[in-house]
Amino acid sequence: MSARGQKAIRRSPGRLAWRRLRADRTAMITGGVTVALIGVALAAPLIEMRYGVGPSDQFQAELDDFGMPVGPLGGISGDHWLGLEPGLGRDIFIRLTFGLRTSLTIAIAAAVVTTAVGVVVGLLTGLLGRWTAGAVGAVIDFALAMPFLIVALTIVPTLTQRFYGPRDAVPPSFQVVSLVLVFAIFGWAGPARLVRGQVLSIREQEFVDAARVSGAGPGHILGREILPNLTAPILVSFSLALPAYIAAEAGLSFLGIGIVEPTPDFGRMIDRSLGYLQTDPAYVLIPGTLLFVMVLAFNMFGDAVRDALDPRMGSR
Amino acid sequence: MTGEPLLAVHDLVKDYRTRSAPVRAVDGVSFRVAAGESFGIVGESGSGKTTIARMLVRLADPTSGNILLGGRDITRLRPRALRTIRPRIQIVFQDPAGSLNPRQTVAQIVAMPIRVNRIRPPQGVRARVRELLELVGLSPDHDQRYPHEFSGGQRQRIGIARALAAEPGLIVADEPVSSLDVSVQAQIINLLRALQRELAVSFVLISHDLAVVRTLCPQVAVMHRGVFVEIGDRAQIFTTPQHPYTARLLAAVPAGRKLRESRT
Repeated sequence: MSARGQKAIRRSPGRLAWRRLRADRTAMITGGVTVALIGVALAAPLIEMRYGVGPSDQFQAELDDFGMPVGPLGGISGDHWLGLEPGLGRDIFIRLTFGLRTSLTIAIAAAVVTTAVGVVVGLLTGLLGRWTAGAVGAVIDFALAMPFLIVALTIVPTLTQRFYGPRDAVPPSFQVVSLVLVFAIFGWAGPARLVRGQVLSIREQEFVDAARVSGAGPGHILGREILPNLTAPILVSFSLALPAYIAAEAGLSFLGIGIVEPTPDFGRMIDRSLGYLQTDPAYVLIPGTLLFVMVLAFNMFGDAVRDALDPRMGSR
Repeated sequence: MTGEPLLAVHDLVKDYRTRSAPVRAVDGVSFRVAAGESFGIVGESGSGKTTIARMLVRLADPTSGNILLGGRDITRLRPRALRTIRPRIQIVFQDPAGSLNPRQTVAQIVAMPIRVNRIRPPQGVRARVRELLELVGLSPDHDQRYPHEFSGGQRQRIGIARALAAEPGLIVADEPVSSLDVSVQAQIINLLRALQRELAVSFVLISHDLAVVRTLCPQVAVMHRGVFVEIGDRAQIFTTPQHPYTARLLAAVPAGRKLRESRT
């Protein structure tokens, strides 16, 4: 403490949370996994260059007469680290690497959009009069009550048909946007309700009264007094939304909507692999395990972030 | 102290709507405070003291009656006009923890009234904040700390510094010491007294504690169930109470105790 002098005594709430996070071993391990997975997704093209195999390259020569990969555990070898897909003979490792990219792009975009919309709606309704706030509250409840799967299964194919014919190739970017859109339609209400509740409780606190008595306007009260107290719940809501969207995106692709071939995707891969459950179990297990580990790590890291940020736990 | 009083309150009434019948929290209260003078309001919990405090700083709207600040009626001002008048009447809250934003440093908290009212040019704010911290007995070097790093008494000093930052003529202090330890209570009372002497700022001091009001306020009102049962000179009220409630209140204070212990 004394060696670093004055810096050591500045203990902002953010700094305290960071210190708690650093001391939490689970947080450090799951955080490491999270960062590593995001790093792999970002570096996918570089990995492709070093690895020498692309996500769409087919290795039919290495399959037997029945289209099954030759060798142990679905053809795991020095050239194909996680084996080959039966039938098409594509490399599983590089497809997973790019699948990570698909998955995280959609999940992060969905989490950012829903959190941003939720925060804005929550802040505004927190400030509006009782009547308007009640009306928006009803809309939020309505959005929360909509059956996600049914609406998603209806909207995505309809949207695709609206812009593309049955034989057109749908570009991956359109698939990504339509999935994010579906998540946004459903996902904004959760954070909105959370933020609205926080705003309603914070604006009754005496420090807000103090600002009002001093002549502060609504802009100051919202931006300087209330918003800084919302960073913790917003961060927590974001970090727990990420794994939820990863799982939801894989689920939708598994059901056959959203991301279609040839774009690499976990849900599609697991769907395709199910036919080989008995003949090539490694093909099922590998993407399933990676998806499981990824969702688990993101979730546990989100929990750890929440624990670190929760002011009721530390020394306050 | 001649002519127009700093604060004049006429027949102030506040009703709260409840599910059953409306409750009259404050029922026709009138008083005056001259510039540089202090006025005390004593009464038990629920007597309507805090409601008066909130109406004075215009956090609550009176049902009827008028509040005149420097001769100007501030009771029904529009938001814009109200904001320009707000710095002239400030408040110190009972709970020093809840009245300080946990996400702001002391410097940000104390600078807020200066910034929003543009009392000083931006480059002069920091020096003024240090000056204010010194004035209330805090180390100016602690201005980058957060509220949770201070004790209860120190937090109350921060709240007082913030009230002073707006350069008000009048400060409403709503139970400023009742959440503090006895020894700290005395320090805060002494600070308020010193500030009143040095800055000629007026106080409306609200407390359930007779001793606190007695040490600071030459003019005192005794409040009971929304009305002033007695109002006048402190010596007169404390020696020859006219109203039976005042007599009961005085009798309830244990002999030989100047400041009673904090309740919570």
